[in-house]
Amino acid sequence: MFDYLANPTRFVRIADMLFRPVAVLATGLILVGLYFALFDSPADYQQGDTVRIMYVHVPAAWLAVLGYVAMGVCALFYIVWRHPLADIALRAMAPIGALFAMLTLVTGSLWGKPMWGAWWVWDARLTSMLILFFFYLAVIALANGFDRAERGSRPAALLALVGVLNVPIVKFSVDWWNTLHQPASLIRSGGVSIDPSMLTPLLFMLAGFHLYFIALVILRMKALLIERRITSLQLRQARQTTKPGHATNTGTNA
Amino acid sequence: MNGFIQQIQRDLKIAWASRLDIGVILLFFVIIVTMFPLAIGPQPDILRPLAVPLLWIAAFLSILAGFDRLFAADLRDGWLDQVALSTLPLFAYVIAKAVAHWLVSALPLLLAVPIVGLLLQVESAVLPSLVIALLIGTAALTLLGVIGASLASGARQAGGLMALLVLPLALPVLIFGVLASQPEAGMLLSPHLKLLAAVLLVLLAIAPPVAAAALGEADDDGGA
Amino acid sequence: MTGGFFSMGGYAAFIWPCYALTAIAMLWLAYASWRKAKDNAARLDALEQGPPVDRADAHNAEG
Repeated sequence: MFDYLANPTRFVRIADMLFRPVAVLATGLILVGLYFALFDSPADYQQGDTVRIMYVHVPAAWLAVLGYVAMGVCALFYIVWRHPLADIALRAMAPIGALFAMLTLVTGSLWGKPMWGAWWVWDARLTSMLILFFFYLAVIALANGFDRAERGSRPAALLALVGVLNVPIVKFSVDWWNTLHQPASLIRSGGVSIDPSMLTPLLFMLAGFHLYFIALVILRMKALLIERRITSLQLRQARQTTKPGHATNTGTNA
Repeated sequence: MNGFIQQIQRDLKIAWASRLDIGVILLFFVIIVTMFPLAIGPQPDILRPLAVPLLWIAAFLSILAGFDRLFAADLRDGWLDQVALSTLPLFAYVIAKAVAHWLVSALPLLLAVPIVGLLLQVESAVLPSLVIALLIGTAALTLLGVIGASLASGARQAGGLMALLVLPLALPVLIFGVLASQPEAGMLLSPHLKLLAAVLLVLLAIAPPVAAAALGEADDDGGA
Repeated sequence: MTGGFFSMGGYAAFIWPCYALTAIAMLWLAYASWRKAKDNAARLDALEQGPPVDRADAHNAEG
């Protein structure tokens, strides 16, 4: 399937076909999820209404982690199999994942304040999410940090691969540090035992967020592909209009 | 093996030629350490528990400062091209760079720790485990620097990018390192130290191929 | 019922900002991404249908 999609023109065609249905479905699922989350689900026995924050916090966290894994897979395809669209996919995913990581942190903080009385705690999961957020920012900065636009693809992909290995190590080390520095009890974010009536909004929101992710990846990949075509067109035009005898040595790779 | 040793010797010779730079790193280390008591206050009771963590952070920042020079000169003066043409594999070159960099940047810090530790009221009982942990930790950090420097070489904001790349990944080294420096019951081979060593081994496996892959492209780009 | 809904058992100050921020952020990213795709498509069309460039002008065009 990935080989089939490797042709940019074909990909754009398929993307155009898929985008609208995916986007509509995503919107529908999220709206239904919101209905259940805010209207048609019970407040938690212990946490009261604040449990409703879970319905955005958990999907956001899940997508943040999923995005980072997906980026790693793209990086693998790019570095090892040199798939022509893999770096575009990686670039498309990074900002979305970063957004979800940021939302996880913010919603987590807003959940934490009424629950544990603090806006921020150095809980293993929140801390790891913070690191993940920095990691996303690093990938974005690296991918866009070079004067020649595409030069950043390889370092960013390599960083994504390094991250796949290292971010779990970071999470493990923070867990380790937490168990040593904090007395057992306390914070278990999401330590809510899920009542079935709470599963409904959660699953709807989860599904909706997934499709949102896919829709935006498609959209951003399309935008990036067009951008590349623009650049190569501009280069070609500039080359055609240069006086003969002036060799323009440009390294294009669309 | 010959080329490997020669590469290390080359870097050491270059570093010795500008040995004042080594002094700068050391000075940077001492100054950072000095900033902490000035900011926190001189009471030994407050400083003592903070001493080991602060030393680690100071060591990290000092080593970090030298990373952007890791490959820059070799890229600029075409040495990397020579290496690519030679029989020395790129990943071996990377390891040689890491070794030389550690010898030049980290070793002086390690030797200075017993003295500098005095500024922060470090207990002398802690010194052996502290130095051993720092030895492994700085080696791990050097490898992370290799990754950061190779990925960011040629970028506009290379220095800042390097820090952004290295520091999040350096957290396990910091966490395990600080814990390993102050083991309970004074045992040297604490589980923390073993975890620290494990991180070092992982980095030893990852850093050379990643850096080689990144430098290969940087080289093609003419180090731009 | 409306009063109870909006006050969310007293946790309104936490829950509503949560949902609002999430909605704003996700909508903003969606809009920005859509905008970028649209703008790029327009630029591409302009380039592909652009008039053949005059040699004198081309010297000043970016390369």
